[in-house]
Parts: sequence; C-alpha cells; structure tokens
Amino acid sequence: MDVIPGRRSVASPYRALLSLFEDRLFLPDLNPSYYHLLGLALSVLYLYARAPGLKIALIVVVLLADWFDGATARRYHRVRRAGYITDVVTDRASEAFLFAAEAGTVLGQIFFLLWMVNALLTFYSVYSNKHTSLPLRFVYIVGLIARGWGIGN
Amino acid sequence: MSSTLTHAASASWIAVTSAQVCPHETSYIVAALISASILDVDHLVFMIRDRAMYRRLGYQGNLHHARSVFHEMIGLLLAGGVSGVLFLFDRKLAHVVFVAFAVHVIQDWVLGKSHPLNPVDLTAVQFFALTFRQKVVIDLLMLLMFGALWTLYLVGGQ
Repeated sequence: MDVIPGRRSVASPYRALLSLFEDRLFLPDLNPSYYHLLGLALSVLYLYARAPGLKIALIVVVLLADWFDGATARRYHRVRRAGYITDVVTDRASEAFLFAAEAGTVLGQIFFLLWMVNALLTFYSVYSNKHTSLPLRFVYIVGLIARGWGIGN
Repeated sequence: MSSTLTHAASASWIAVTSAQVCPHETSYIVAALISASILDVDHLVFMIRDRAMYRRLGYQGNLHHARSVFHEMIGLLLAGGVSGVLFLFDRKLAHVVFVAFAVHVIQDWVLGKSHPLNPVDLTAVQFFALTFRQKVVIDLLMLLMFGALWTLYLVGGQ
C-alpha cells in the first residue's frame, strides 16, 4: 500500500493558500524530479553566492522549484510514497548546502543545527506517517531580508 | 550512480572551490578528495559479502543493494555531526569535508536508485529512470568537465 504521510492541521491554512495559486499555474507534464534537480543544483550554487541579493534570489527559486514539484505531482496524479520521499530528502539536501554555506555566521550555525533536527524529523515523518518538518528555508529567507534591511543589526 | 573517480573529481572540486581553498593548500585538497570518495568503500564491502548474488544477477542495475546507510540520509547526518566537531578546530576543513561528502551522496541519489531513509523506510527512490548507457555517458561527461575545471583551478592558482 502506497501510504503518503499526511500533513498536520497546522499546515492547512498555508496549504489552502498555496492551492489557490496552484490551480492557476501553468505546469508542464514533467517528471517532478527535474524540479528536484533544479533545486539541488541551485542549492549547490548557493555555496558560491556572496551578494545578499543573489542569495535571496537563489533561495526563492529553490522554494519555487520545491512548490512546483509537488504541484506537478498533484496535477498529474503522480503522488506516490517514493515521490514524497524524493521530495523530503531533496529538501533536506538543499537545506544542508544552504546552511553549510552560511556556517561562518551565528545564524548559519543555528540553522545548520536545526537542519540536523529537521533531518531527524524526516525519519519521524515516514515512521509516523505524519509529515513533520520545520520550514527552515522560509524562516531563513526572512532572516536574510531582515538583515538586508538592517533589522536586528 | 557515478564512478568513484567521477565522485572524487566533481565533489572535491565543488568542496574546494566553494571553501575558497588555494591550490597550494594541499591538505584541504587531500581532505576533499578523501571525503568525496571514501563513501564508495561500502560498495566494496557489500560486493564482497554478496558476491554469490552478484555472480548470479550481475552488477548492472543491482548496485543500489550494495550500499550501507552511510550512502543515505543517515550518512549525511553523520557527516554533519563530524563536520560540526571539525568546525570547532578548523572551519575550512569542516566545510570541505561536509560538502564533498554531501555532493557524493546527492549525486548517487540523483543518478541511481537508492533507499534514502534506510533503515526507517526502505522505499526505493529513483529520480530519473536512466539506462546504463545514459549513466555511463553522464559519468564520462562529468569526468571530462570536472577534469577541465580541476586543471583550470590548479593552473590558475599558480
């Protein structure tokens, strides 16, 4: 039986908001792994990014790719447990590169430790069949933008 | 699944250049090469242990069984832990070791069949259904590309 871990109720409003846009998106009938590959490649590229603007742009595209892979799978009825696992391990790998790149800063070090917690939560998600993860990249990008605007400096 | 040589060339180049290691800092380069390729030792262990099965079924298309949990997310987590300890002594070394190891793991996920959440979940995952010939072509192209990038890196730094 192909059981896909369900989302927690706390994620429902966010999911509902995403689905509003998702229905209007143009999504080609692609293998969602192309989006995974794009997200991973950009996360590796992030290791070389120095300008804050470029860093923010890269994370935004990585997050969009993460959204599109799931949206494509849902639109074309390709939602499978293997696809779910591909998605979550791609997310963890992407976070690993993003936060390893920032390990020179205190914020990066904290997020690298949180990435390790998130990786453990991935195991818990498949064990309990209840998707549990910390939205680290979303929070991190907010931190980057805040730092760019001089908030908290 | 890439060859060990391709892993060594590509993952170590990414690790070394992203950490801004200079070509004369040979200790970091050696650390990157070791971290990028040491993981493939576990293929050998499984291939020797299960040699009867491989003699019967052949290696082609069955090598994803010849990998331990170190090739999966657990390996990535352990590499994170080891790098965390290294970070206390040498930040550049920690970066080089983690990135080289992580790139190797991810290349194998993307190009082959894997069980990323082994041992908790043994679902087999395959990003792309590549044929053996396609994998060989990708491997050769990567080896050529990163061979050229290594040459540029080493020549450019002198």
